Amino acid sequence: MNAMIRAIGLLALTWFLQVMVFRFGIFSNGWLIICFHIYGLILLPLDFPKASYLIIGAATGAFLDVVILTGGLHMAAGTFAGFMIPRWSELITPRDGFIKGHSINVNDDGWGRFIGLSILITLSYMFVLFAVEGFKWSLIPSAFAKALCSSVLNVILFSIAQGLFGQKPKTKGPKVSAYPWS
Amino acid sequence: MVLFVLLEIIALSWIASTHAYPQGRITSIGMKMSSSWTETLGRMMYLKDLKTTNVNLLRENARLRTAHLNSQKTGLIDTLNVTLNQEVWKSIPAEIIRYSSDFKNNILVANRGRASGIMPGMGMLDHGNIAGLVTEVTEHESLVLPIIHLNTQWSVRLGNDGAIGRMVWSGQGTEYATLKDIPLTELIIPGDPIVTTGFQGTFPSGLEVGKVEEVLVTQADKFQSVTVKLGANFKHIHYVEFLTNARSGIIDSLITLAPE
Repeated sequence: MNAMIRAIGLLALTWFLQVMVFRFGIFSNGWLIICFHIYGLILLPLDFPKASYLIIGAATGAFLDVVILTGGLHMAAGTFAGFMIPRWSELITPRDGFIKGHSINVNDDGWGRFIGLSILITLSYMFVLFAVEGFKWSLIPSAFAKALCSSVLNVILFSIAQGLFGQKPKTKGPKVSAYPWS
Repeated sequence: MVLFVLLEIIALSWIASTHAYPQGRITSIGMKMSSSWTETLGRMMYLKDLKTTNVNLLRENARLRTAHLNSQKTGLIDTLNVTLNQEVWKSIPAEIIRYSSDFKNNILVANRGRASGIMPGMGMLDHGNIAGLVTEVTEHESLVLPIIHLNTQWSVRLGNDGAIGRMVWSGQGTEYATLKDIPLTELIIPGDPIVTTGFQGTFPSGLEVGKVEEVLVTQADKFQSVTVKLGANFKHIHYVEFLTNARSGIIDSLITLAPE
């Protein structure tokens, strides 16, 4: 339960930051855009029911659309990302599986798994966002290229956030030093 | 999956309602799909109507045939003279009243006999295709040996000027017969027509018998065999016509005068 509340809180925070700050993060004629709320989707616990990712993804996108007036673009992208999250997380699941309520983090899963999952989820989101925005079959390759560029930028951002605010390694042993003079 | 599709539809509808270009695209796709569906539906309706029309035509055909036969029974129309291959042949319509096609030696019984002018040796046609030969007649019925009888042989020709051969039934299905004694030099292509020679005096020459289905060549034999797809449909045979030529008797009597 705690993990769930923590994850929803984090999602709300990333969503808020997206609305307040990162919504202006549009560079290179729209080839690079920041969608920081995807970080909140990435940090959702990996043992949620599949349908809940769909609903959370769709709701996050829909709220964003209402606030920043993007008319359903983020909802379509969020729904697709929510649909893909369980499939992508299956790809990075270790042989013994994750513990209950586990969210992806660098400390437990390493940079490889974190970046891998982040790039897959972000790419799914960004691809649908750009594809639906273009709304033309001929623009699909360009949508994929844009999605790839933006995904790289966003994953760099998520990695910085993870490095700064992510779970820290627990200190081992007693806190009282055997060598008080050191 | 259903939830995913539902949410995507909601999102796309939202996009379509707020963005002009997707709105136009979706409307255009919708119109294309709608017109395509209407066209398909129209084609299906046309085919359905075609089937109904065909059934109606068949019924009308059957009605006309029955009326024709009834008018003949009442003496209004007896026989019909037709010109086949520059010869005048008398055509007598009849209805098949007994029929067997499950035996090796099949027989047909028609509802016209001596009283209607049917004589042994007359040929029988099914929709213009040769179908059998009258062997016995009573006052009002006639017995016909069809092509699909193991003891019958028919003189036929490949096309209008091809080789002459002997057609027999091998007992394998009512749709096929075998044409034998065709020289190996004869070029035969599946689909080639098989017609009557007229040599037997039963039918005029050039009447359709069937089409070449398959050519069978064996190295040991100097002749090739042909599987013939018969034109007569013995599975649906019902109304037939008998042919006779007034000059047949004269021609036959001429043959009997030939020295031994």
